[in-house]
Amino acid sequence: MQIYLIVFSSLYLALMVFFFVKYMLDTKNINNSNEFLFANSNMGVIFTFLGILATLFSTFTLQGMPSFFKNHGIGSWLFLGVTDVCLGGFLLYFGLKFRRFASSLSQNPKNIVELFKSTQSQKSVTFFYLFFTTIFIIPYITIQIKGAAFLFQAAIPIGETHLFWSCVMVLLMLLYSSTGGIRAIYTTDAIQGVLILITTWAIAFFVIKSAKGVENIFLEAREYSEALMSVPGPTGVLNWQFLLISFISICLMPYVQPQLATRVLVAKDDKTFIKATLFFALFVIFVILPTIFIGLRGVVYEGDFLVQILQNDVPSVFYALFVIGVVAAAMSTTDSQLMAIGTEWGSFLSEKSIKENKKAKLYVKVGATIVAIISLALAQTSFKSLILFSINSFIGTSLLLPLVYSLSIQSRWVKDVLLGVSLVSVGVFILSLMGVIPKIIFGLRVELILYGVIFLVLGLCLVGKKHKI
Amino acid sequence: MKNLSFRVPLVTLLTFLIALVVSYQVGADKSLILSIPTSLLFGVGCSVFLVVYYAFEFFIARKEL
Repeated sequence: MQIYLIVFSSLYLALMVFFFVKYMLDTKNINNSNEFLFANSNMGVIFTFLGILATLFSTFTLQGMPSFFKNHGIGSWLFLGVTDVCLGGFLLYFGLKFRRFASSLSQNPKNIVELFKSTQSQKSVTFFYLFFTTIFIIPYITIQIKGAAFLFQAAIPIGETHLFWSCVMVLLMLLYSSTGGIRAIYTTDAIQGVLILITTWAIAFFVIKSAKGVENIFLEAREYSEALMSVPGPTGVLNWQFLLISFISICLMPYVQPQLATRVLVAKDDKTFIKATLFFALFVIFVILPTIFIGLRGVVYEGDFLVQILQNDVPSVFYALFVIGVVAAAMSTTDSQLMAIGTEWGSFLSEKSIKENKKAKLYVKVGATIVAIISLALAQTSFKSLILFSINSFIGTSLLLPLVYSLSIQSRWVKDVLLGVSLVSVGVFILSLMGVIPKIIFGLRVELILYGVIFLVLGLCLVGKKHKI
Repeated sequence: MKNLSFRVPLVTLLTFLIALVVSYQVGADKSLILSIPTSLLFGVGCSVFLVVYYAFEFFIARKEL
């Protein structure tokens, strides 16, 4: 297996180095930062849809989803299979509105902080958005590093912990995100998208073969625990409140998370964007479907089931391919997040538009390096669940929606109300995570109450806007 | 340049809510197909329906886009 891993790693690395050098040389000759950061807003259908897909799907999809099916049963499809297709549906409508709003502003901004600047928002408000986005994105980057390093450590152990592989991962991500520019990142996204599809289906195929059919996989899972065959699953995690909260937080990601917002805004034109969204919705099904079989097959194994499936059910060549798939998934999600956060901080620190700032690359490098080092340190600590931690990161950023929506509002006092709603929501959410205030109030999870307040206020704003109040 | 119809987010939301309710209602009932639970088949069906529906909306709106 190690030989295959070395061969695939070398091939993957060679591909990465090729594109890295190519795009680095290309962007070196360009004076403004528009090409480096936003690819001149000229991304086609394939790159746009693979960009969104790969940024969204991370090690979480390859490792977390099978684990979710094993531990919580078939309700996991609703949690991610239906929800991600719905994300695509909302993008078709709200994504287009988001693009139109951005293009109506001076400078035609391509990232969220530039949207704040174009609407003459106060610097303190922009800082609030940026600070909390950074705080919530760091845990997500952390789990990517940890997930990939853990798998590499299992395949090729170096030292007692996964520290060595974590450092290698961070170094690669940092090098790629801060030097190759957004086109290099889109390329890793495209490679990752293809790799994820191939590996998940290949592993699902061998898992089904090893179990002697799909029917047996479900029978074994049913024998292991009848509760796996229904919602909310054996531990009751997938209750309606959890499913609704994750649905809302995931569907709001493209409008509040910088790496996805930029991908929405840099598509060549609206038609390209719509086609990319349609492909996205379709591919979500293809990517998540095989994780049902991999996850439910896991019930026959004790302990770390995924490694055991890869060792027992799958030929070595696909085990190695899976490890490379996880690395690619971690790479593409993390390098886009690092570059996006670096770009947002660069925008914040630039007086003029980041597109015209010749020091933009330096800002991106410094911002990305600081975030990467914090994430690397956090990756050495122990977390109970990869998925639940990243879900908190989705929820945290989604609470910034009123703030992003306030950019389309003229009235100063309405803007202040929306800022207040975001501020209070984030504050309450953080306090509930820290256990200062209860997680459940009147039988409802605090996140659901916060979403209720947010949508009520946004609804009132929409009514007010129509009646020009 | 027009947006796609407001039906798109509305149908999306309704489909999710229906999938959620049905998942709870049918529980672990077996389907005739390969013993796969009905609620899982329904969930996958909802996803496929949405993709087909989006393609249909795009087909209608493509001349205006």
